[in-house]
Amino acid sequence: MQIITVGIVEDNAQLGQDIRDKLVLSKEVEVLFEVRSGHLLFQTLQKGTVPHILLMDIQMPEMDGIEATRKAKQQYPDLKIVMLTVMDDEKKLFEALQAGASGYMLKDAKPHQILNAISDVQEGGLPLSPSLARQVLSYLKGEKVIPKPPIAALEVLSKREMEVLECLKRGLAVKQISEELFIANKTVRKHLEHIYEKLQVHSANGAIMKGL
Amino acid sequence: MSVAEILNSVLAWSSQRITYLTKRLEIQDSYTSLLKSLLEAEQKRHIAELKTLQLERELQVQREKLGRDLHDGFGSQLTHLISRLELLAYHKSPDPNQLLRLSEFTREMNHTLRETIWLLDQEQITGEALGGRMHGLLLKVWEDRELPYLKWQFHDLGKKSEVRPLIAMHLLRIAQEGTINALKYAFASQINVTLEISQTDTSLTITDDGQGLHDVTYTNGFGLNNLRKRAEEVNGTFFINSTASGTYIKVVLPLNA
Repeated sequence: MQIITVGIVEDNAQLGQDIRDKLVLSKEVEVLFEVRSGHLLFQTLQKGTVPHILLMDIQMPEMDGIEATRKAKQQYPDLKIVMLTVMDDEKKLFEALQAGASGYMLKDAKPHQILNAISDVQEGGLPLSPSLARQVLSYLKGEKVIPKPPIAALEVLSKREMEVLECLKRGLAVKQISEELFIANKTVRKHLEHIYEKLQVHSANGAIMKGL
Repeated sequence: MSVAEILNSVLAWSSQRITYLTKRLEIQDSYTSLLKSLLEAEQKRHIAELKTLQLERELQVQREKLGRDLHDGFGSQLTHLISRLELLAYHKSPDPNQLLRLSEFTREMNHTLRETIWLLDQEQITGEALGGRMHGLLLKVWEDRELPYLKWQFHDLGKKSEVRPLIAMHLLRIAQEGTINALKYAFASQINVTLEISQTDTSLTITDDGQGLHDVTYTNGFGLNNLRKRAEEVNGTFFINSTASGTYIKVVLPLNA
């Protein structure tokens, strides 16, 4: 059994402690650090303490979670980032996905949900909520719902990935998707991982970044 | 009929005609001025309507900000509450002290909720009403507590000042969060809270003679960082000086942000 290492970035000490206490219930997860800001995160990462997964608050003063995510993915492409939020503000979440996050989690999630999410992310990505899946789909299709649609984005989505997104849009869970498409759970997660990656490449900043 | 008679009646007719025309002109003049004043009245009404609309829009913006604060604040607090309750359930035998702390936390939320609902009902709040409300809030915080001693002062220098609900809300929250923080961490024998309203701004000072706040509390959850954030949100200033012999906090917010 491989232990998954986690770092927590949360400016609210009480909420940070809550998450940490939920994580220590599992022996498969180890919390490497808990920091209160984006700046402190980079100080810690630069010292060489790089976890498998970062749990990142979206709303933080000075450097917010989205900016910190973008920067962290630039410097540590293998790092997986899950956004932590109190309210599921879709606009912000979509921005976070474009910045390189592999999903989001509500801070009041149950301990077992948080732990499941962490192992899910380790294997690929977190399933998107139906309304976020709809946004992602229309964005990658180049529909004008979201500003700056990518050019010929449809080409980058494989047929299977489209099908997975359509399933998510209907509100199906990973297990249900695997049954419907006759593929393994793990394969569904791989597709999710690719969708997240493509979303990032095709966001305005992502595209510029990769072009440099 | 003689020529003179004819001339006379022509003259009479002409003068009648002139009188008639003059009258007509006068009537037309007064009609015009009537129209003009009607138009002016209409214009005034339009301007008044526009002003009302503007005010309504401003009020709407303020309400939205209040709503967002409610959303963010209560959202985080409820999240904390849910998480703690769930963790207690996981540990099977809950510690009574932890349960009491949680009920205290929830009671604070309830006070805040009442305050916010009161604020949402107002369009403008008189300085006096705000002072009264803040004093009441502090007494609630001090309920069942004799020490540290609370010294409350209120000065309305602007005379009959009016404060916007949004500003009033931030002031009340800062007073609440600031004093709770001092009660928890300062170990003081006296805490002074002073609210001063001038013609242009409001200032709230919280001082204590405690042992000073350590670095830990500077970044604590709903603590000092939050006070600074509130002040900055409405273009106010936040100042803190904490030493081993006490802490001085001063927040200045504009009356109409």
